[in-house]
Amino acid sequence: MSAAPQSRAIERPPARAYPAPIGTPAPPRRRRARAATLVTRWRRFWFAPAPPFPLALCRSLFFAWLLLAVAPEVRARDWADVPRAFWMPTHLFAALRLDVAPAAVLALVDALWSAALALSCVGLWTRASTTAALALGLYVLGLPQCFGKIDHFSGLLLLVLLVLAVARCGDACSLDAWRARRKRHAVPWSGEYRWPIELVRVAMVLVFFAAGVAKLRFGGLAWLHPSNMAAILVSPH
Amino acid sequence: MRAARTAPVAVDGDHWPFSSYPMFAKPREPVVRLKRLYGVTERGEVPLVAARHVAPFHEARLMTAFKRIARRPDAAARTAAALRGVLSRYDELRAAGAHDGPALDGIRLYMLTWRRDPEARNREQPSGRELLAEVLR
Repeated sequence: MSAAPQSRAIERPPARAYPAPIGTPAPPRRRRARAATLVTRWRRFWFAPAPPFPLALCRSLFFAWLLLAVAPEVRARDWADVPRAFWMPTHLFAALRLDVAPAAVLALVDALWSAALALSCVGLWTRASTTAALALGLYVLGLPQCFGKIDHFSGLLLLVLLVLAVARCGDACSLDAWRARRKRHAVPWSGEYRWPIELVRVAMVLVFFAAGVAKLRFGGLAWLHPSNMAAILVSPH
Repeated sequence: MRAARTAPVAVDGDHWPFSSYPMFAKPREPVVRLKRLYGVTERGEVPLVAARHVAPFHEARLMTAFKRIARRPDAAARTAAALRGVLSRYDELRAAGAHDGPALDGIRLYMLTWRRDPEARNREQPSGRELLAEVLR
């Protein structure tokens, strides 16, 4: 005769907090904490204190490049005598009612823009000079775009000019800072020196993102085929 | 600003200084079609190089301009006006010594076609040539 089965106590592991299945909404407290973390990361990305020097160096290099490499190639004066039949203003020029000024005025605009770029580069009267560089740059860079075709490099330049015009980019590595240093101590770190750099970075990323989206929209995966790449290179020649 | 930068991606097109950057996005077709300008001389036609003969235009800007003009309701009249403008610009730059091109009696705008060659060996021999517009003195 077999013995009655002996009841055995089942040993259970101690209760553990397993992760909730995917898709299960997090408890409100955890959601709030997660949101707070995202907000903190977002703020840290844009506004974590940074030294003034990197932004000032970017300002100096950017304006030097505009002055020495871009301004000699993009002269508003060249467009004074172009036939009127080619005048097709961009939306911005049409909205601002900007037109082709007489040759003498355009030559003056070119000279003033170069002066504003030089002052912005060395950081003298930085706020005023970067604002002038933006206003004049809008016209000098925008004018050629009103004659048939938009050169895409110029758009990003204008956006960088806008960022630098409103940023505190003259607080270091500038004649303004050199003059101010005689009155006060070193410039403290601030989020004001981080967001302009991050904003330009994001804008540059968006340029390439937009270009990539356009390839997928208009070309699809066929765009990636080597024969298409070769054709893109050969066609203009 | 970021929103404005991304908006053209969604709405499409160029709204300077913003853009959806659509250039080179369409797959290339086996036939290449390009607009080209030729000057008319006593001895025949000579190809014009925009950057040299019609500065400050470069080839892409000038031909895109003609493409955009062709889409307008007053395309024929405006194309003729643009060609007259190109001719006078050519003469101005020639008189100023900016180029050494021959004196022109007129100017013609052609649409040239090529069957695409992987190494562009046929670039001097287009397979088709269609006259789009001309202006003579």
